[in-house]
Order: sequence, then C-alpha cells, then structure tokens
Amino acid sequence: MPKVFTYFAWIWLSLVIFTAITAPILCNDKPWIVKYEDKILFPAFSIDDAQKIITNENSSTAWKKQTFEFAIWPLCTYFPGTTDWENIAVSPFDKQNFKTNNNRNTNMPFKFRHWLGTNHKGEDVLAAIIYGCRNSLSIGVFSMILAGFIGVFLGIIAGFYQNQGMLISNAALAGLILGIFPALFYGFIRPSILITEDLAYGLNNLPISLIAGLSLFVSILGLFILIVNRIGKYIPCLNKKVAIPLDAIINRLTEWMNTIPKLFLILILAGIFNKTATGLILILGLIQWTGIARIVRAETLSLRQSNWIESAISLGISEFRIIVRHLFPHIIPSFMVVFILGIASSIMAESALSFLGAGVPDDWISWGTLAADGKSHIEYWWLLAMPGIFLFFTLLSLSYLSDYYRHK
Amino acid sequence: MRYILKRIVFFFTSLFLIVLAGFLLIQSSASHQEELLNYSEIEQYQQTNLSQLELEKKHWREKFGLNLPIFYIRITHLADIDTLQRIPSLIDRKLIQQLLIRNGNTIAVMQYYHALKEWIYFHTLFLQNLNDSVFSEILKNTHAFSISLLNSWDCTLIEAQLKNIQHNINSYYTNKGLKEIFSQLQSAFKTMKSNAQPWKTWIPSIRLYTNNRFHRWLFGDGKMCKGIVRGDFGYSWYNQRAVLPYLLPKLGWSVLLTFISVCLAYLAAIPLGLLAAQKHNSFIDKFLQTVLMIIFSIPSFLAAILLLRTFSNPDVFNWFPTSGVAPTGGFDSDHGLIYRMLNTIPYIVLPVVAYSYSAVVFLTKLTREQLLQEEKKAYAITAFAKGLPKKMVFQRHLLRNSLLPLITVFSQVFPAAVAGSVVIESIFAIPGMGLETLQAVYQLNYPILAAILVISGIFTITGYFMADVLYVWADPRIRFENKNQKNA
Repeated sequence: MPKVFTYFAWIWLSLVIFTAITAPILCNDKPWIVKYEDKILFPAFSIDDAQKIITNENSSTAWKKQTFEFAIWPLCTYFPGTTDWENIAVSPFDKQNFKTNNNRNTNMPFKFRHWLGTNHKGEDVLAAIIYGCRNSLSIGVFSMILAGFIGVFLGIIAGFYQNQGMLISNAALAGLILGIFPALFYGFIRPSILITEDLAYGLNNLPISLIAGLSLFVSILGLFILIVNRIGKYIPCLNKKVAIPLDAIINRLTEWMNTIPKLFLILILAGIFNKTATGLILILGLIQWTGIARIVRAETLSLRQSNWIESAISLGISEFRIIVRHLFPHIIPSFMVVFILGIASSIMAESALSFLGAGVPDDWISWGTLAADGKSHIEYWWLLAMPGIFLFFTLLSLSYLSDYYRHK
Repeated sequence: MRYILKRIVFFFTSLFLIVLAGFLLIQSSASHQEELLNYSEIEQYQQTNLSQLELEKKHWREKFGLNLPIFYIRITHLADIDTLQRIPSLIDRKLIQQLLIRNGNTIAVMQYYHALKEWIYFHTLFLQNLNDSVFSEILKNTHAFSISLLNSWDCTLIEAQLKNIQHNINSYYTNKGLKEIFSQLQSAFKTMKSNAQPWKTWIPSIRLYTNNRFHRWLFGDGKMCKGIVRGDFGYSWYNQRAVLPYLLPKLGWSVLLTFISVCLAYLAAIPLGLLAAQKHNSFIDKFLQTVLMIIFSIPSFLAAILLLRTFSNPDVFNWFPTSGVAPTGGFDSDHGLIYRMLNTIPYIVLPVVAYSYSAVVFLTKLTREQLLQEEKKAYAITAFAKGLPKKMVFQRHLLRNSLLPLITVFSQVFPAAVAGSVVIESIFAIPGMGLETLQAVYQLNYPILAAILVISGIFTITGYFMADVLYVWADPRIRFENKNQKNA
C-alpha cells in the first residue's frame, strides 16, 4: 500500500468535512461581501445587512439581478430546492441562460454558473451535493460515535474482566435479582402508566422522564444490592463470591446482534417509527457497535497479558485508572481503524436507504436521494454521476485509510 | 460435542429473540389498526347505536386475539386488573387504568365504571327517543358532561362534572328511572372516593398468564389462527392473501440468487487470493489490491445502475434483459424445465454480479491475509526448507489451513447478501424478498414485515449454525481441545 495515496485520501476527507461544516456559507444565494452605496456589507452572514439591500425577496434571482459596485460571491450561488426557471436540466458543460433586469436573455455570468448542472426541476446539483454531504457525513460520524461508545465500553469490560475477573458476592447477586422487579416497577412501569398523553403526537419531556426513570431504576437497584449485601455479611453462604461471566455474556450479545439482518431491521424500524435523522443515527449506532466491540475485546485481551498492566495491577492501582490511563491509549489505533471503516459502512447504509427512499425524512437531501433522482432521469447523466463520484471517493478514502493503518 | 450443544442452545435462544421481535412488530400493527378503528370514538358515541359499536369492536378484538394479555409475564401494581384487555373501547380502558392507579380500590373503581357506563347508555337511549326540541338542548348538554366523565380521572374534576349533571337533572328532568340511575352513579363515586386505597398502587405485583397474545401468535388458538409454528403468519393487509404461501416463491428467488452469488464469490476469491499471496509484494499483488479496493468502494446501487446501463443498453451493449426474471408474459406452458432454466440465465447474470462483487473483494482479502499468516508458521518454513517449490507449498500445505476461517465467514457473507438484496432487487425488479420488504415498508404491511423478519432471521441463524458445525467437522483442533478440557 503506497503512502502517497493516504495524502490524497486525507485531503479529500478534509475537503468533505470542511464542506459539511461550512455548507451554508459555501452555498448561499447572497454575496459574502458587497460594497453598496459606499458601505461594506456582509449579506450572507448578517440578516440586517441583507435587509439593507433587498427588503423583500420575491424571486429567487433577486440578488443576482441587483447591481453592486463590488461583490464577492460564494462558490455556489444557489440553495438546494430553489428552481431556476431559465435553466431546466442543463449539463455542466451546456450553455446556461441568464435573464437580466430588463428581461434580456444573456449568457450566464461566470460567477453564477451551475457548476455541476441542474436537475429536471431546475435545481442546482452542486448545492444539493454540498448540503447532502452535510447530511450523509453527520449520519455516518454521529452514528459511529454512538457505536464507538457502546463498543469500546463493552469490549474493554469483556476483555479486561473476562469470565473470572468480575467478582461479586452471592448476596449482591441475590439483591440484583430481588431488586430488578421493584426497580423496573418504580423506574419505568408506574411512571409510564401515569403518562396520559398520546405517544403518537410526541412527548415533549420524554428525554427528561426517561433520564429520571433510569436514575430511579439504578438507585433502587443499588439500594437493594446494598441492603442484601449488608444482611449477607452475617450469613456465610451469602458471603461467598461468584464470578460473573462478563466475557461470555458480551460475546453472546454480539453474536445475537450479528444474527439480525441489519438492513432489513433498519428498513422495518424506520418504516414503523417516525422518520427522523436522529432516529436513523440511533438505529445505525445501536446496530453497528459489534465490530468495534470485537476488535477492542481482542486488543484488550492481548494487552492484559503485557508487563505494564501486570505491574500496574500489582502496584494496587484502581481498575478504573488502569483501564482509562494504561489500557485505553493503546487501544486507540486499532479502534480508529474499525471506526473509520464503520463510518464508511454507515454512509453506505444511509445512502442505500435514501436511494430507496425508505427510512429517511421526506425532505431529506443526501447523496443517496440525489442518486435516486439520477436513476429515474437517466438521460441526464450528470444527475447520477456527480453524487456517485462524491460518494465513491469518500468511501474509497475511508476504506483506503482504514486499510493502510491496519497494515502499518 | 459440548461445543455443538452450546451452539444448539444459542440457536434456539436467538430464534426466540427473533420471533419476539416479529411479535412486537405485529403488536404495533394491532395498535395501529385499533387507532384507525377508534378514530373519533366520541363522535361515534353520540351518533350510532352504542351497544352495536361495542359488539363490533369486541368481535374484532377477539378475532385478532387482542382480548388477551400481551405476554407471559407482566409487572404492574397491586390494584390492577387482569382482564383489562377484554374491554373493547380504548377510552374505557384508559379510564379504568387511570382510575386504578389513582384510586387503588379495584372493586369500587369497577363499580363506578359500570355505573357510569349504565348512565351513559340509558341517557343516550332517552336522548334518541325524545322529540321535544327545547328539552333536547338541555339533554345534549348533560350528555356532553357525561361523555367528558369518560376522560376525567381526577376526583375534583369528576365531582365538578357530576355537580353540573345534578344541576340539570334537578331543574329539568322528570324521568324517575333516569334519576335513580344517576343517584347510583353518584353513590358509586362517593364509595370510590371515600374507600380509596392509594397504598395499593405503590406495591409491585407480578402476574403470569398462560393464555396470552404471544402464545397465541406462536402456537395458535385452535380456532382463528394456527400460529407461526404451523406456518401461519396471518394475512397480508394489502391483498388479503395468506402470508407464507405468498412469500415462499419470492424467498426462493432471493435464496437462489444469494446462493449462486456466494458460491461464485468463493470460486473467484480463492484463486485470486492465492495468486496475490504467492506473488506477495509484486506488481500483480499491488495492482490487484488497488483494483479490489476501488471495486469495494462502489456503493451497490451505483454498481447495479452502471452494470444495467452498460450491458443492458441498446446504445452500448445490449446483451442482457433489463429487469425481471422471465420474459414478459412468462414462459409458455409447453416449454420444459431445462428450456426455462436456460432462458432464465441471462436475466440473473447482472444481478449475480451486482450481488457478489463486494463478497469477492472481502473473501479475496481474507484468503490473502490468511495465507500470509500461515506462511510464517513452522510447518510452512519446514516445507520451504525441504526445497518444495513455492507454488506447491501454497497450494498443498497452506491453502487447506487458510480455508478454515473462510467457513466461519460464510455465516457472515450469507446474511449480508440477503440484506443487500433489497437494493439490487429493487433496481433489477427481481420478485424476491428484498423487493417485497420495500413494498411492505411503503404500504406499512405489518404481517408481511413480521414474516420477513422471522424468516430471514431463521435463515441467518441457520447459516451461523451450519458454519459452526462445518467448522467443527473441518478443524479437528476444536474437537480435541474440548476432549482435553474434559479429561483435565
């Protein structure tokens, strides 16, 4: 694997990330800086400045028809979804039409060109790609951050404690089993009965009540464990310690997750529940942690044998500190490899879903929906080619980087 | 043997989980349908014959098994009743639930509920049989108060509503029977209020049910449905056909395509991986790696469209048909099986390529890495030291051992291919499971979705299980390890 290509991959990825972050600035129908009536104004950044020049925009080309002494325009001077009636389905290399103030048709000025053409509805393709990049990338990154948290946590616990490492007394186990029903009851079931609003219309304070329920659940469980543990001190058979087979439990969990056909599950879940970007991130994140957990567990397992961990344990350093300060930094490289590959597969899944038009919000713009447009209007080649190229190069960079650092 | 036994346990637990997931899906569908039925229930209260509506709902709920509790086990408070689901109306169920968790006295709450229902029933009858237009305005007013009692579970609110009704009755009503029924309602409310036992709602209780919706879905009830163990997944909402006979031919196409493409992927990947490993770090290896990386990065829908536009386009190559799996109008009945099979091949070439290209890349990479790992082991070095040619060492000694992990990978490749079929089947218009899933998602056809989830889950788990068994069969080390553990 030649190293030169990694530079290209990094350059492409940083370009894509930069585009995603600065999408509303890169792609705006107002100029960045103008000199208007001897004043320097920034209409793209400030609404007040924009109001000073044009008070009511009644056409999408109002800003382009306005004359300025001096103006710096953004890269792409259109918003996604606004129709340019003069240029319906023009290719990137076609002659593009522009209507001036006195309704004369002229050649499109260079700064207002549709760089990547327009689609069958006269919408700019580059603008859609820039905003689509924002959506696709944020789905990929945020879902993998969620998956990363779950995967690293479960992987480290499974690898560090294995099947014998986590010792708890019989009493605590009994407390856990005894306490689980009351904790469920007071934490979740009783509050859920008391909620009388209709869930279909959305619950405003759902996160708050969920967090409150969870904290109540944990505290009741903890209370039970503490009490039974205290009583167990006087009963010898309850005082004996048993190992929790954490490794086996987490392995089974990973296997179960793997047996579920993922795209089917995403499709079905997204079909039933409200189609939102957050929902998609949650679903993808909750499904994709298995790969990370597997790698992190294997890495932790081999690191556990190493000398510095052994010496840290014998020095009496707390387990939490060992995991965070001594183990975790060594896991980061191999974690990053899986993480980058996971972003690629998340983006791929998102684009497949939005290509099918299932599981994403109705007004969603992403590279997948653009490609679906291109498929239904195959006679305009650029509609499929442009988002396809962007998607292809992003996925290629991600998988190349992941492959390169894996072998390094 | 212990290993196999462990895998069997795993097989059944995951089967149970998948079936549970399908059941939850069906449950959400039931509530969805019930919402449609309950739509503007209050308006219906005022217009149609009340008991007729209740009977209709009751019949419907019994048909779908909704009169049963949901699962084998339920955690609830002490005052809750077990037969809540038998009450047909959603508003009534909500009222009882809310009253119970606020009041705690089960008997008093149920008495109040029945008194309220009786009052509303007779009052509606009285309203419908009256012809006096002036008096009917007052009656309608009273009726509105009574209906709003169904939505009020707060004691002060109920008291206020009752006072309003009482005022109307005292000033305008003359019917003695109606007055008596209302006084019963009032006394029921007073008993409920004075005999409240709120402590009961703070005590958790666990209820067990043998006859529940999950049990019914799994094993059937002998009358309405046969249960999924006997292959009854219910009826499609869209065309009212039984789900399983409808899905089986589609399943056949998906499995056929997936199977062919996975087999082809293995056939293509192993020689490629062998080649790359033998010529490690040479130009061919690097070239192959780069090409595979590029192919792997093409999203499946893009690849499918590109294939379609290249090889099924009158302007470029018009080699293969565009979509479907058979000529439009189907085959003639006098054509034999072999003729049909031969004529189906052009239809499945492009889908198979689109299915298998990512699997080829994945398997090639894996084969290459496995071979390179095996090359460092002692027995390979011995073989090289004997002076055997490189080709022979790779093909005779290393390949066999490197293929072992490929067996476990089969269990990952197969489900991935089944899932990937959604995109490819929709592009090539293959009447398989993927296309059906998509349609069912668009139509919110829950019984089909549940069936697809369960069937594909069963396939995936079976794939895992088969891979495990094959692995034990192929790798004697696992068997011996277990025996050694037993002896020790």
